Amino acid sequence: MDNNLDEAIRILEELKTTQTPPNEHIFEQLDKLYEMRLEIVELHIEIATAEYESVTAALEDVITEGKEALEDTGKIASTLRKIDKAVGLFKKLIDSIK
Amino acid sequence: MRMIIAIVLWVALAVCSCGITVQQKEAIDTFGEATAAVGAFCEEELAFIKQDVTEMNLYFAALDTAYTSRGIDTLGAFANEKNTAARIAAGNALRAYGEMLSELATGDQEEEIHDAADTFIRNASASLGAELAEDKHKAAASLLRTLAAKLEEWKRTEAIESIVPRARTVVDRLAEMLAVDFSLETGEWRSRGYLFSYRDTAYRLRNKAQRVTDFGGAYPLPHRYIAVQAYHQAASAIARAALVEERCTPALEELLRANGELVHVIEDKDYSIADIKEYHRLVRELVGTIETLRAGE
Repeated sequence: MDNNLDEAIRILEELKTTQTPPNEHIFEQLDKLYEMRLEIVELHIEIATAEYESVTAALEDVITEGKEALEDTGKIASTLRKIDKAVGLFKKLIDSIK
Repeated sequence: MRMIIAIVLWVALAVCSCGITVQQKEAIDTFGEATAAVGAFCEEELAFIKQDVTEMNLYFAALDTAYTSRGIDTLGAFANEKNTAARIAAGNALRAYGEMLSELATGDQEEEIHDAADTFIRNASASLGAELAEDKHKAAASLLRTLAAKLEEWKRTEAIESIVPRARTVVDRLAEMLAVDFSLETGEWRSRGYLFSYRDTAYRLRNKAQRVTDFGGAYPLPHRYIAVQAYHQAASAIARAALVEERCTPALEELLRANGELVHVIEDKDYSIADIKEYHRLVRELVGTIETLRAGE
C-alpha cells in the first residue's frame, strides 16, 4: 500500500497544478490521502489481510485513472471517486484492527 | 528492568588495567564531543518539531470549519507526548554518553561522570522500551547507587576500556532509532519515522492553505490572512525537514561507523582514528547548519 499511496499523492499533487482555475475537489481528495498516510505510519497493520489488499488494489485504481486524468481532464471526476472508494476501504481496515 | 540491569552491568564491569595513549584519548574525547552534540541536536530538533506540529495543526483546524474540538485533538497523533518523550530520551541518552566519555577521557569532575552515567542509563532504558513499575524503578535506583560507589574506586582508563565495547550495542540501537526518525526515505510504512510525518503534516497544511490562497476572492480576507501564514509555516517546515535529513542522516550513519571504530581504537593503540574525525566533522556541519537555521527563526 505504501508505494501506491505515495504514487497516488504524487499524481494528485501534479493534477492539482494542471487545473486553471483550481479544482477544489482535488484539494479535498488530496487532503484525505495525506490524512491516510499520517494514520498508516502510526498503525501496526498486518499486511497479509484481505482488507489491506483491497485498499492496495483501490489505490492502484486511483493511480491508473489518475495517470489518464493527467492526459485527459475528463477522467478527473472518476479519479476523485476512486479516492473515496480507497478511503472507505481504509476506514474498514482501521475498524478491523481496532 | 532487564534492559537497565544489562546497561548497568556493562558499566559496572571495568576490569582491564592497561594504559591509554594520547591518540586513544583524543579519539575518545572527539567521539564523546561529537556524540554529545548529535544527541543534543536530536533532543532539540524533536522538541522543535513537536511544537511546530502543534502550531501547524492549529492553523489546519482554523482553516477547516469541519473540525470540531474532538477532531482537533486527533491531529498530530504521531507527535504525542509518549512518542516524543521516547525519542527525546534517545537523544538525551546519546548526549549523556558522549559527555561521560569526554569527561572520562579528559575531565576531572567525578560527579559529572556519575551524573552523565545516571542520565545515560535512565534515558537509554526509557527510550529502548523498558517501562518500569515503581518497585522496579527503586531497584534500578539501587543499582545506580552501587554503580556510583564502584566508579569512585575505579581508574578512568579502566572504566573507558570496559565501558566502550559494552556500550556499543546500546549506542548503536539508539542511533538506529534516531536514524529512522530523521529519515525521509519512502520505504515501507514501518520504516517511516518522525520527520516523515512532520513533513506530511506540512504537506497537508500547505494543501489546505492553497485551497484559500489559490481561489482568488472566494474567501474573506481574515480567512485568507490565516491561510497565507499557514502556507508560509508549512513551506518552512518542508524546507527544514529536507535540510535536517540532508545533514542528520550522514551524521547518524557516521556515528554508527565511528562507534564500531572506537572499540577497535580502544583495543589497538595504533588503530586509525580517521573515521572518528570524519564523524566529528559531519556533526560540526550538522550543528552549524542547524544553528544558522535557528538563528533565523
